[in-house]
Amino acid sequence: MENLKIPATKYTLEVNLNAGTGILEMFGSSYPENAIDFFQPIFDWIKKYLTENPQKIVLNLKINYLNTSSAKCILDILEILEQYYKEKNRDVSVNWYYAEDDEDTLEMGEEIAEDTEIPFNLLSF
Amino acid sequence: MKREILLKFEGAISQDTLVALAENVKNKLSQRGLNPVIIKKVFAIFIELAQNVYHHSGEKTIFKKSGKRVGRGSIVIKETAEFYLIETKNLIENNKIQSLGEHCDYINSLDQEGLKQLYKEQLKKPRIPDKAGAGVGLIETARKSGYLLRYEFKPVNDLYSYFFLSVRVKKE
Repeated sequence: MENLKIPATKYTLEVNLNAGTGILEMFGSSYPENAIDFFQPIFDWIKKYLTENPQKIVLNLKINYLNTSSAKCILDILEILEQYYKEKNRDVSVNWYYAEDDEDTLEMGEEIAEDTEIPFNLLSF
Repeated sequence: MKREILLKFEGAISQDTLVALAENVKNKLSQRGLNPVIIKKVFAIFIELAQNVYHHSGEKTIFKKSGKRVGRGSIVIKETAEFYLIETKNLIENNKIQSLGEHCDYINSLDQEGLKQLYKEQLKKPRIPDKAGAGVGLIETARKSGYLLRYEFKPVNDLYSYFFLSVRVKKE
């Protein structure tokens, strides 16, 4: 399966989804007018990838800013992965990176962590 | 200190316009050497309110090339001695006034914990087809602000009114 790479713009994330390693990465800020348009290819890629039954998935998120409709899309991704984690009992984890002085991004990570069963690491840099 | 206007825009808030304004806001606030947490709050509220105008304004500009219908309105950021104020003005259909007013009042009736729960609940709800937003822009705005949403409707004619919204962020 091909990897999915999307370069960052000022208002959309850099995305690197690697089918070989199972490392899924998203970096930056996201506030497009219609978040679904941006995230739909990512949802599609992940759903297809999960049909290949990967043993290990690591989702690395290093977010600076998400508008609310992008936050919803990130939760959708976590839900897809959570379902896989619970049903297939595979090694799935999330690393949520936040700058040390960025309480806002830390809080966002903490709130997401409260509602997911996937092992969730909050990591400052 | 009198009120200083940091940014003012009136017109169609297209994505390109929004990005240019957002960069401008970020640069201006960063130059003031503010706490990054305050900068992010003002930035986040600015984006949510601008995108509310984009999606919900009763007055649209149609861009033929992209086929997009972009909401028109005005957005201002002001600085006072104590606060940053992020304010929008746009037209709204009169038949939407009641539900929008009730939504604002309900948000204003909740404390931070209540807002957090409402935000989480709303974010998890399935999307409404053809609605771009997550339906939580004003909830998120109230959470970031920590103050009441101040709003007002002013009738224009049988079909439309102006919707004024003012949101504050404490500087320290």
